[in-house]
Order: sequence, then structure tokens, then C-alpha cells
Amino acid sequence: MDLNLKGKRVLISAATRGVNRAIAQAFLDEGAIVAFCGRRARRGEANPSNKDVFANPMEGDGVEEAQAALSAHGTVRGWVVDVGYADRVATWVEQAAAWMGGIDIVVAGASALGGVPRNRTGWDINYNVDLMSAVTMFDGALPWFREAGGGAFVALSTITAIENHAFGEGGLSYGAIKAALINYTHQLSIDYMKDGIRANCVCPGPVYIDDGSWGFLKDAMPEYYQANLDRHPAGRFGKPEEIANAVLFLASEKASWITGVNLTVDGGFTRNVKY
Amino acid sequence: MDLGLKGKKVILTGGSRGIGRAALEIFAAEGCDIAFFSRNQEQVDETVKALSAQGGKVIGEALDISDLDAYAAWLKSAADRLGGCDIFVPGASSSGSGATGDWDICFNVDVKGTVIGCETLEPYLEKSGAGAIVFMSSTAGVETFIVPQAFNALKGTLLVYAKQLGQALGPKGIRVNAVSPGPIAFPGGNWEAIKGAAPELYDATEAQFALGRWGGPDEVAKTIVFLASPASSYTTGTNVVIDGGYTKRVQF
Repeated sequence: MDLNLKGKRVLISAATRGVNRAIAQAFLDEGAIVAFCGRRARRGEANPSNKDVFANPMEGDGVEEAQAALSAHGTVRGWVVDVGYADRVATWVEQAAAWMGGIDIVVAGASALGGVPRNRTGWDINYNVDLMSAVTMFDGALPWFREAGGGAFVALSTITAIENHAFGEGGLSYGAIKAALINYTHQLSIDYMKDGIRANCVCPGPVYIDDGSWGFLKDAMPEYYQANLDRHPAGRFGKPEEIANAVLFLASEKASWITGVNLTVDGGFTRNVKY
Repeated sequence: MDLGLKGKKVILTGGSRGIGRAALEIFAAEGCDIAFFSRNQEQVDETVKALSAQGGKVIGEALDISDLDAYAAWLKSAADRLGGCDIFVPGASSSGSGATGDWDICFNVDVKGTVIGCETLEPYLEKSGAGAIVFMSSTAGVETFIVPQAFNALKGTLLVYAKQLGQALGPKGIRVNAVSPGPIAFPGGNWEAIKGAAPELYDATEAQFALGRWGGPDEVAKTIVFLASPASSYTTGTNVVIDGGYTKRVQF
């Protein structure tokens, strides 16, 4: 099936590594143009932002390494942006749209994940990174969607927003704020279908990546890691490509009648019946 | 049916009008001791006077929840003055202050107000042995409502947090539930203002009630009180929709 993504202009946040990086690469492999961002310019750099803004201990490629690697797959450019700041996101969207000559697809995938502290700062981090960066990306892309005669918005949520998964003392703000993203995406789908803009959500279950959350947890919390693996009906965690495939399909014209959906992609991990 | 509320200590935020006020009146009539706040001193004074007629202890003060430190300090002080806290209803909402479209105000009042309130009162609720929290969500959290806005999205946040908290606090004997009212009309409320400013929206909304009429604060308040009471001792992590048939989804 040809998704007809060739030449589509794709904006994707926080794509230097992990699931979002796989999504960026998959779009490039389909012939799309990709503008992405990440917090660090280079691997190993300290967090350039206020240390209170984010405390993720994981490391990985910076924007330069990601752009170099992704360039082998197509036309791509990265910006150094901390999406915890809405004004910086808005500026990046403008710059990316100018570089691509417009925007057809937005993938809002940035997340502070579930390891944030359980305090007001933790809530602020998830609110700014997981929710407001997506809100700002949509608002910034809206004039470009309209100019293109339509568009597709895909937000990355989490299964933790639809089913409780205890994660020690932290992480409650992660799923709760991602729920706001599901609600908001649905609202967008109703309001903008008349403009040919579709809005959908993808809720990934656990995905294993060496330098991702579950790679980190495998070493840092081996019992927690194993308990989740043991309860997974597939006997394994997901692969980033398996999330990317769902995102690409929802973003493509083949999903022209799908909007307002929250698609769980978890290999059967969640127990709730998907009515 | 005896709800088992006599002598229970209730803290409710934003209680001088609307749903919160209606819930306070029922709690007071059931023999509870009560502490509440809202922004308007006159409304607070009037509410204290009315509730005091029921004979229980009533603490009512003027406070603006946007100062979250002052809010947390007030909750602690209120619980100490009541001699504990069995029931917490974080009812203060940006909706009541007309800020449903403002992300930061809505996040601070509706989400952080609820989160900080639960964390502050958790030790008191644990000591209670019959601790109960009732969140105020909205049908806007579960079904499309007017336009994309902060209120709708962040009421969704509260539903997830209520479920999570019900799991986390269950071992401490604290139940956590939510109520999701649909559009509710009362004098001085949002919908009275909308009736004048946007009559088409008002009429279109009215047309969606399966029961053919607007709901009142008292009809939501009764469910809040029931969920908060020992009569609901085995109910936790649920969301009760009270909307006269306004929403159309099947609630599985």
C-alpha cells in the first residue's frame, strides 16, 4: 500500500532518539521531508536548559548526530529546541515551516515521561513538555494546514493515560497530563474536520530501545522491568518501528476518514476492553 | 438509608455557590462538621450563616486558590481546627472564575489545586479510617464540548489522576472517586450568562438533554455526598456522570 507521503512536509518534536526518531526515519523512507527538534546539539552535552526544567537521566544522540544519521534516508533538518518552553516551540514551528515551504503533517511526540518527581515541578514539566508543546505545535501549524488545504495531526500519548500503571512514587502526572492530550486531540478533530484537518492520538505501550526508558529501567529497576515483561501477552516489548507504522498510517491520506481516534499500539499489554 | 455521615469532617473548596454550596448544605444537614473557602467574603459569610443553622461546626473563609502555598496552609489549618478530615471535595475550578480557555489558570486551579489538596490532606484522610475524596471532573472531559479548550482537556487529566490515586491510596483506606456533571444551570452560574450572551448555544445545549431539562446543583451535590459517605464504602476509582442524558457515548 502506497501511503502517498512522498514530498509531504512533516514537523516532529523531540526526534533525536527513541520512538520519535524511528517515526522521523520512517517518514523519510516514504519520501517525506522532515523537520525535527531536540534539546541537545550534540551527544553528551549537559541539558542546556535550567536544571529544574528536566531531570531525565537518559542520554542519546543530539540534533547533529541525529540529523547526520537521518540524512541518509532523505531531506531532513534538525533544530535545537527545548520544548518545555512554548515560545521556543512557536519560533521553531515558524522556522521549520519556512524551511519546508509549509506543513502537511505534525507529530507531537515530545514527552518528559514518567520519571519526573512527584511534586509541583514534576507536574509543570509534564504540563509544559507533554501537553503545551503539542498545543503550541498545532496552533503554529494551523495556518500552514489551511494554506495546504488540509493536514494531519498525530499526538503521542501513553497507555498510562488509559489504564493505571503504578510507577513507584513518581509518574502520576505523566499519564494524567497525557489524558489531557487525548481529550484535546479529540476536540481538535471535531473542530477542524471542516478544514480537512484530521487529529488523532497513538497510545504506545512499553517499547524497548537500548537508550530509551525501558533500556534504562532494565538496569535501574530490573524487577520492575521483568514484572512488566512477564505480564506482557506478547512476551516482549514493542519496537519503535511498530509505533512509527501506526503514526504514519494515521498521518497518511489512507486514513482520510479516521479522526478523533485514540489508537492503542501495545501488543495487547493493556487489560481494558477497547470499546 | 443512613449515609453514616454524622460527625464526619468535610473540607470542600469553592463552596459558596453552585454545586459546592449545594453539597455543603447536604453535608451540614447530615450532621457533618465543615470547612470551606471561596473568593468572595460576602458570599462566604452568608454561606457560613446558612450552614450554621444545622448545628455542626462551620469554618468558612475567603481565599483565592491561585496562591497555592496559602491554599495548602489553609487546608492544613482547616483540618487541624476541625480536628481531622474524613472527606475532601476539591471543588474550586477555573470554570467558576470564567477561565475555561486559559491553560495556565486552569492547570493551576483545577489540576494543581486538586493534586496539592490531596497530598496535603492525605495524612488526615488516612487517620480517618473512612477517608474519601470526590474529584470534580466534567462531561467535557469525556465527550466533545463546545470548542477545544483547557478546561475540557484538564478535566480529562483529573479523571486519570482520580483513578491512579484510588489505586495508590487504597491500601491507606482512602477512596477516590469523581463526578462528571454535564451543563448545570443556577442563578449566577455560567449557563445563565451564556443564555444571555449566546442564546443559540444555550438552546442547542438544552436540546441535548434526554430528560428534556437543565440539571440543578442539588442533583450533582447528592451524588457527591453519596460517593463521599460510608454508604459508598466499596466504591473507588469510578466516575459518575450526572448529566440528564446530555452525553451520547456508552459508558462501559
